[in-house]
Amino acid sequence: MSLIKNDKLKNLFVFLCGCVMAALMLEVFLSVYNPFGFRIKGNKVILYPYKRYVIQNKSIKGADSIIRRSNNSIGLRGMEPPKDLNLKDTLSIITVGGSTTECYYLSDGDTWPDMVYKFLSVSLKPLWLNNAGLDGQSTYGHLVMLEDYILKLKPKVVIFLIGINDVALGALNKSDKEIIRGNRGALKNIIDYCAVKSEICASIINMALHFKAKKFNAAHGALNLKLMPQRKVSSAKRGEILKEHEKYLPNYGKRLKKLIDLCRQNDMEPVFITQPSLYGKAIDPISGVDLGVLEIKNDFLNSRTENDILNSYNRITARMAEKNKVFLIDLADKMPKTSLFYYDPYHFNKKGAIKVAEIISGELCPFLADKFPGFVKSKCFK
Amino acid sequence: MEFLKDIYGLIKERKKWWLMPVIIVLMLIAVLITLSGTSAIAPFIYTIF
Repeated sequence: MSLIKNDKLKNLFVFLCGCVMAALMLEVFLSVYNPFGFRIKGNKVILYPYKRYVIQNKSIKGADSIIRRSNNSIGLRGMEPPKDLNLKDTLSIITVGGSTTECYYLSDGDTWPDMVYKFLSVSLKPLWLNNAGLDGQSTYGHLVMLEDYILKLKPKVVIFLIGINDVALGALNKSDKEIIRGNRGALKNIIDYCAVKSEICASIINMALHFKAKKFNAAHGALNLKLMPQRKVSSAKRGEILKEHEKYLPNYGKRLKKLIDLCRQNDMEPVFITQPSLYGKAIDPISGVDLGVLEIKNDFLNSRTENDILNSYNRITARMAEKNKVFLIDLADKMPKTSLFYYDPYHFNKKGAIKVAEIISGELCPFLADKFPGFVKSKCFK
Repeated sequence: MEFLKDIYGLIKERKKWWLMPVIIVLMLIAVLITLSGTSAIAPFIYTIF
């Protein structure tokens, strides 16, 4: 210390030592106990086996005030996997998707995958279904989830409800380069490395990503259609926005192809479901509000344009399904546009989850019965 | 608040500014532990990935 003669320099050095000590303390604390429970660390998905959540909900109207949810021993929502874990003698299904699959604000038993299990298990036995949906996960995240977790489980069927987070992924990254693991650029690779090595870095990056998602209106939110300001967008402007976003679609298609190939190479049958939205060219029967002219505070300007963008992704999903002979459930087309089923533009409430499950199981049951006749115990109901 | 003022006074008086980041981190940890008992920080898990 005596080597540093200048007092100011000495003080600065001591202050920096204090900062390092503080950072180390925070790092140790977050390594032992991270209260945020972030599920993303750099380029990896983190699951929390046996984690139980009791959520006191005050902000999301249309969801229960107390939400109780839990993860099983493999960190997914749903029943425990069979003991031998090879799932050979069981019709095993895993649902993969973003927040609309995870159903964060719905208690165990109320989510659409839970309901699909309930409906399907009448006709198909023995059936095992787990929910691997994670808030904010796009097809980029689904590929990571498949590689890191689902391939080890090898379920017979993987159901993907996809689209909405890819819309956000394209718009937020503003890059038409295909976003896949190992192809995110040098800077992102460094950031990913730091996030894997340090809890502080992972927390800061997750916070930044969260606020980015929030700015884009992708996260969960309360919906009050009557209080939302209106904004009309000319068809020329809408066409311009759609054209601008078109450049992200081919890479979305490529990621879908990768999902299909990865599933098929591992003897898992993929099923695609298109993402529905409350928004669009319709009048909400509950509030009487025009669902096509609501102002959206992101690049898409209003609800109709946002829905048109989502539909362009849904069309790619349908096209890829047709081209690769993947069973498709066009939920976007079949889900009624009514606020009775949603607590925000994309997330289903309890009634919505039941409706979604009715639509999905109604179409999925005959497909599964045909594909896996050995598990049929009674005729599928309509 | 009085306690924080006292600590600030002590740091200023003794010129132990290096203690400042340590105290800020300790306060942050205390806030995180308190909030983790509620659902206030749960929505932060929404990240586009």
